[in-house]
Amino acid sequence: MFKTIVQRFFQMVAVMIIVTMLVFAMTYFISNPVYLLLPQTATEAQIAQAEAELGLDKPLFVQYGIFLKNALRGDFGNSYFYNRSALSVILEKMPATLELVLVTMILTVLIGIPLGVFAGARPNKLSSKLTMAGSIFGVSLPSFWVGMIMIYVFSLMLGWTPVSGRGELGSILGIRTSLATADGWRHLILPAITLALSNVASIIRLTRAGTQEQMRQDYIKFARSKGVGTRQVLFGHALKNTLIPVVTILGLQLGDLIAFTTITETIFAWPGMGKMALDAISSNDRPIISAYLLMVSAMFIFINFVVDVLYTLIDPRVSLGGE
Amino acid sequence: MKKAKTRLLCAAMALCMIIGLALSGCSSDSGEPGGGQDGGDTGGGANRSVTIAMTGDVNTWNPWMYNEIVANSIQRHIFDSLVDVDNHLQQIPSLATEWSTPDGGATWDFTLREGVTFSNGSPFTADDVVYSFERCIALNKGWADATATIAEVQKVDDLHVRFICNGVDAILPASVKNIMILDKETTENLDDAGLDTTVVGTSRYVLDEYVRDDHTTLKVNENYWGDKPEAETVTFRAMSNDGTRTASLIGQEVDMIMNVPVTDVAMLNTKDYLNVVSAPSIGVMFYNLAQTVEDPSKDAAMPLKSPDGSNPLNVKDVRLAIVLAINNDELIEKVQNGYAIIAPTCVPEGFNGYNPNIKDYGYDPAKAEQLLDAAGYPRQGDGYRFEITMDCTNDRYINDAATAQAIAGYLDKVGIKVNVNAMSRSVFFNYVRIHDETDNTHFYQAGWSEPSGESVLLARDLLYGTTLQGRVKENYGGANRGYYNNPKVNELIDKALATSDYNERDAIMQEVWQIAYDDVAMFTTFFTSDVYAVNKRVNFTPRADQFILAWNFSFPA
Repeated sequence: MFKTIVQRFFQMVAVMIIVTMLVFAMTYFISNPVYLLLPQTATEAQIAQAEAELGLDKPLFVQYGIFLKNALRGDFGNSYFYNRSALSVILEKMPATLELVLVTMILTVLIGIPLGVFAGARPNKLSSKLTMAGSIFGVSLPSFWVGMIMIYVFSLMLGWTPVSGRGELGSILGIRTSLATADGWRHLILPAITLALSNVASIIRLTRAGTQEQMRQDYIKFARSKGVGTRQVLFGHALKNTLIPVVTILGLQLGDLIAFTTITETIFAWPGMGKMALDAISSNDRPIISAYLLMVSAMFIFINFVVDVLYTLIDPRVSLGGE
Repeated sequence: MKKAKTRLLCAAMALCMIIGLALSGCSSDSGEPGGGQDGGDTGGGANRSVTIAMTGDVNTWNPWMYNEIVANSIQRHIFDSLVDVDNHLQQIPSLATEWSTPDGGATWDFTLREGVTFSNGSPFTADDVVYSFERCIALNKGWADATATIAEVQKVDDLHVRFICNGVDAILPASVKNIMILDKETTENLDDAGLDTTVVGTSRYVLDEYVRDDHTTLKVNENYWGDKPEAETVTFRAMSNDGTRTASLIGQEVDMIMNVPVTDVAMLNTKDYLNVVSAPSIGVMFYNLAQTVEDPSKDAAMPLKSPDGSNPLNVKDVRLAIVLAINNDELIEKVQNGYAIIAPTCVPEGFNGYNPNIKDYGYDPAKAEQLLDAAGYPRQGDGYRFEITMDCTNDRYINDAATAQAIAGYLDKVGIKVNVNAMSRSVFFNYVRIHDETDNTHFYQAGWSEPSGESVLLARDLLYGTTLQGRVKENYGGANRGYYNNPKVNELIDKALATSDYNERDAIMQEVWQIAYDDVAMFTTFFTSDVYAVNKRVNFTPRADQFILAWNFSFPA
């Protein structure tokens, strides 16, 4: 186990190095940010000065070396448009995204898994069929459209929730978050549901398929014939064996949510990392783009690793070393 | 059988949901807004607060760092400059009560307002002015252009400062108005991060709460030196998405939104609690035609192709024909939904140097064809006279790519084939720069706005001579990518820049714009309009330079 973890660690480092190259190349080739920073009328001298200040006048491999060296120290340089360190900008936006993701993931697990289990256990009931039909919409409707419809129905027609923004912030363990106030929750719930919708739907479908398969197995029949209660059969035996693919997908969804809440955040004017990343790309704010991409890739690699470890806990037959 | 039943059930449900959604989408237009009264700003006349949805937010509270319209506008509520402008962009006193130049623009004397204090109680003196300018100049960022002519700022006594210019700057007050004055004692030892948290100014409001990219709340500065504004608290909310701004206004979470998408105007007009306000802006769409280039670049990815290899844009009548072929009225009506006004030149009315005699070239495709035939560019076998590429942005100005496409369509009708090369602004401004002999750009569309009220600054950037070898004069002609180079015009611009008398300068500049118009140095299509939608609980007066100012709001009884 330990040996495998060390091996995986080195694999992760190798992947990260390749990612830094890709990130550097991508931000480098998009275009020169100097022309967006300076007025249209800037002279060659001003451009040369700005390039020198940003270190863009050095040869490509030198720039990459500096980029790598600074990245290792967690220093991605100052954001061109915020004029503060890129990392501090990202860290400032992170709570807003994480609180949204947390609520979304809780909704996904609490709604998706039970509904999936019931739909799998009782495939012929009307409620199961309704669930499955609804899940088709969940997986196929694009989130920008769902977001607008949500605002339209719940904010404008019914007036239950505010249209946009993060609302009043409170403090939990020193972190300023919407989760600490009632007003914050009212602002949070609509974007969270929008984000959760497609995730819930795919979890339902995945859990249902797994449960259906498990229900045909002999051990379920045996448990039933022995007189074990329905709830125990479903959640104690069948669910445990369907969880492996579900946990994999949940892990990927978590990464996806943290990294790519972009569209939902933009629509709900939620000041999180996704909106920041979008703004950074359109204004070619290289330090932020590269810091963000590196952080996201590191996170994905880490989540995949955690998911692998989780397998062993869920299913004793799986071992990391493959022995 | 069972399978078929299931499928039927699913289809029926899908249908129900679609109908439901469609119905919910239709029933909107008549209904009263649902609510969303959480903002606490939708009360009666006693509530003197206003909430405004902006397209962005303040990135830093260091006012000398960036020149960006949303941030400038919000920062202006907290900081003052020596000179201010009114809603028609005419200069008015602010922290300086009067100013004059004893020697035609080489030095300028400013008399400062007495008895002004910063919001933290610190007195405002000449030291603060000297400090602010020195720090802004040393920073050399967004306002480098505005401070380029300032050699030194001297303190004469506590209430007088003297500006020494590099050479002569006859319009220095127009630049001085951009530089915000901060308190020396409070901010001298602060770095940029410190300036972000210590926000102290002399203007009408003080910072109450700031959550970056979400909202900025300001309240009235009790120590303000002038008349207090009607609105006691102001909240700026950052909403980059058009639909979100519109929805927030309908939900009455905000009192006003900026940059209303023209497609939403008709719907917003049906709401009896809203007003749609539009105002002509100083933002103009302009077009450069690469003239005085003997051989259009053959190495270009998309070169200018004429039958005999010459550059048709060198001929004045060809340039005139291009302008005559474009129907500006239709362009404004169809592409901009009427929210634009025709621009005979790039000088807005009311600017120094505005020439009322210059009228739009007009729309006359038949004459355009005659001119093109006479100039030696008849239609070839394929029906085209020559082929050219038009570079433009697709994410910078309102409907920029659509405007370019429409212009290509008009020119196609008179036999000029135009390939529209639309790109993102992050690429465009590099692509169209004047590089060297392999220049790709022969025809391009961009926007420009000059908030100083001085047309000589427009001429300096857009008309002053450039050649393929570079600029005729350092810092001049930075946006003249048509290589228009008329020595007479250059000379007159130099003269105007050295003329401190308002009327004399006005006369010189009127002549400059007439010459440029006769030469078809460049052309312009329209000034875009700024469109705002406002809840009727407040009245709003727009300003031509897009500044959204809380003191331009009033509360009807």
